Amino acid sequence: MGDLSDLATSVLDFASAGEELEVYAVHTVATTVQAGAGATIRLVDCAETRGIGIRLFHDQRVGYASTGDLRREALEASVARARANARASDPDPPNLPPDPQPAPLIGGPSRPPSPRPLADKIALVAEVTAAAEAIDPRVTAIDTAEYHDERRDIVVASTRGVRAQHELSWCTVWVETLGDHPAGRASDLGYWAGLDPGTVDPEALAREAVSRTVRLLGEPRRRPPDLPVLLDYTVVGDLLAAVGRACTGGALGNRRSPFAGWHGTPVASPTVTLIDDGTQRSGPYDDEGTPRRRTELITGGVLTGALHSTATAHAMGDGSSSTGNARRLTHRSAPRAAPADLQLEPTSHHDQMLINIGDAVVVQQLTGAGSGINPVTGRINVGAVGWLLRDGQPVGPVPTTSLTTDLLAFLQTVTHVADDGRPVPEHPVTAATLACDPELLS
Amino acid sequence: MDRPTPTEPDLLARVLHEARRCGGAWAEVYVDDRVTETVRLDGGGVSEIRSDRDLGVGVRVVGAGGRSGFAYTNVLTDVSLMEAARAAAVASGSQPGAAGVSQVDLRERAARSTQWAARPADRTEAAVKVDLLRTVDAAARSHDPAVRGVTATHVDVTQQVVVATSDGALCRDQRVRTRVTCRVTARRDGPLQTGFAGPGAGCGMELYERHPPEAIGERAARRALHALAGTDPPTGPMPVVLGPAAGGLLLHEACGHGLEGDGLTRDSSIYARTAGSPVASQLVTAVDDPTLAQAYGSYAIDDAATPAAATVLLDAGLQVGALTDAGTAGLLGRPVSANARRESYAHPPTTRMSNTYVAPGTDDPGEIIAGIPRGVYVVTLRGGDVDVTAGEFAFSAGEAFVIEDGEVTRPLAGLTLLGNSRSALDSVRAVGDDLAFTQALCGKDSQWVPVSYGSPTMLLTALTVAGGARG
Repeated sequence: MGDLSDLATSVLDFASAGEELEVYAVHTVATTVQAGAGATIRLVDCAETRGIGIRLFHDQRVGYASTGDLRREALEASVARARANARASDPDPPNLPPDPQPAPLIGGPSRPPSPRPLADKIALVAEVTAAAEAIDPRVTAIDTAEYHDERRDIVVASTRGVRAQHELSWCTVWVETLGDHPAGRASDLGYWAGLDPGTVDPEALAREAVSRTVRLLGEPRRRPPDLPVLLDYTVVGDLLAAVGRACTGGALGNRRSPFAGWHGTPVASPTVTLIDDGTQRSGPYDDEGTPRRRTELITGGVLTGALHSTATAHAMGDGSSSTGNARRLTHRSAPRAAPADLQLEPTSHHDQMLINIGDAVVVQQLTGAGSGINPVTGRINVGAVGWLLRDGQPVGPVPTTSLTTDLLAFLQTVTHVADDGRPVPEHPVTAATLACDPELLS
Repeated sequence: MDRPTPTEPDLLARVLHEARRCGGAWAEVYVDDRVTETVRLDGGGVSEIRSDRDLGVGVRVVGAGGRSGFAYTNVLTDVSLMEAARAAAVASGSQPGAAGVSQVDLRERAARSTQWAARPADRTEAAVKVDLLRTVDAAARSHDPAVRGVTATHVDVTQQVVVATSDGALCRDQRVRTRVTCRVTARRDGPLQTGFAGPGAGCGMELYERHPPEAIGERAARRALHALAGTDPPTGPMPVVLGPAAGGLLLHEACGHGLEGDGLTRDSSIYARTAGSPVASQLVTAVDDPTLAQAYGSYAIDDAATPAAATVLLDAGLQVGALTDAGTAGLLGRPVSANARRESYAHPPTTRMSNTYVAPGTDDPGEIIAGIPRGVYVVTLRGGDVDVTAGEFAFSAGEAFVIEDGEVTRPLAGLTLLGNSRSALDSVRAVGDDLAFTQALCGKDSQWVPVSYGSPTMLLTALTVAGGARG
């Protein structure tokens, strides 16, 4: 970390008079292990990369450059490139680098308890795969089981005096199983995300994948129209991710959000309190060195907040400040406002909620979510794949139906938020089961 | 400032030798050196000009047991490269053998470039790109006062790829891509709508000669305005005419991904058990072709050193082909089809599409529409997802219209197409002669690669129309 910090601060020396520089330096070490049928290890991937992203501010203009070449002359050339890019840009007065802020009181190194040998990682994936193959004969194949861990050492330094450095680690383990039935095939995941893979129960993970898969097998049953709708955590993840994008300062400020102009007014049922919690899984700083924090976006159904980077906060022109939500996908990307970890405040105990609801339609997967949920217009046009819950038990799949609504209308239908929140694959969301009014699928 | 690039045959041979010395049965070195320039105009002003140089090496080793080990680094010292070779060998489960390993004798294989730039974008000043984007922006804004926001983005990539294998292959490929996208938001009194246009090609700045910036902005704005004027679609099963290029996305998502070798070998694809059988209407012949000149998804060699070649996937409705690399081809007992692709040196290759299209038929597009008493005409599909295992899909239309009594009439908003890939392709009743392509980045297994997909106008009868604006 010391080397990376020295490297980042050394780049600041290349700033010319009147210029401000911000340097984002990252060193990534990652391992991926993939297995397939028969617990055969298909791939082991070991990675190590370093990179620098530069923002140069001059005369109210900003230029960006990045490189993985960390030799001094290459870094100087990248600064020169950023300078040229700034010259070709238009003045953008709100786009300023952040000022230094006190070190955060929360967070700290998010480090696993101890490094695990590669052999243990391989054994874990093989164990998950073998377990998934043994549970239910209706599961006929394993698509993939994967272990992934990653550690990023990140330093943000600027000529304004920002010096933020931290480690960010995470680990995921998942398995996808495939099931067969004369009426059709189905597949789904068992998924775990956390810091310590030593806590993964391979049998439980496999059982989750298998039970999620076999619930979708069988002759589809007619869907009674008036049943409440339960949304699976992955479905909630898809929907909340779009809500989160629509609540970023860039989207709201540019009026590219269905929530633009709704601040202080109801946008959801009173059951809904949506929080972006940057204090748990995201490290102590955002990607421009601002301390992470917890931001309420919707409180009791009323739109109360927005997610900001420094630039989007300044652009609001109303005294807003960064909420610590600047995010770079890699050192090559410019920072943008993005959610850290979206969560709905639970209102009900999960098991009690199911007892109270009785019969329901459970939507377990969305098809077309990638393009069918539009965070700009808020429109939702996707396919809903699910099953019937009767007396607390799954009794068979229902035909794929169209889920046609919009983000605000969806949020208005929420009646209960369960307390079974968990990280969602591919989204910065910790999602729980939601109960919604029947009209969601009408 | 030039950075030493690890592409000298002697160095590559030493890396391969190190991997083999550590017990690898087969090894490959992939060197990727790329410059990416991004210019973005948002709200009428330049919001971002960004330059990136990314150079790194991925080493893949297959152990005696068939396991793949992969390691990559962008620390390009001899020491780091040898460490990557050793790490990949260990990851492949290899053990150093007792006997010595012979040096790898690399022989360079010539490959004819499929992408080239008459006007190289990496040597074009950012100010020129800014001016072109201003033209895109102005065209979109002047189209109608309802246009509220315009984001125009230019991205060009100049990439040198070198692949060397312990079989002795040494291949080089120069790839260039330029793409401009325009996103428009429009609103009158009601809800916001969006429009998109995004042409790209395996070329340089001459892209703007083929796709004038005014036309790009105007097209994106027109789509947003059509959505604004659109009504809820009629719903239920009905004839759907997919306009030129629109059917390409359906083919790509609903069929192409299902014919990728990894899904076929894992039995996770709906097409895993139907090789040699009819899976589509006899009117459908589908091809994946990475050799198309200056196409967005083209390459001269794939990312595992196989010379590019076209692959027929469906021949008059029969499932005849698959998209393979060496590993999946061996498992499937099929030829290697040059479809090993990766996002960068930091990714192992997987089987992917390149430029995938439905071959043109003989029907007149106008007559296809004229024969529909009631249905919908989809000009563009914005995107979609497919469950490759079950074949169920959902696609969102970017621009769509009602067909009434053989005429394309009023615009629609929020149209979604639901269906199953097998029954949808089996229901193709007419194929036009007006093949056209769309360009995109295709995501799979957390890797994004440039692709194009195309089709002529097609009539399908087994799709369900759903969706609606609802406020």
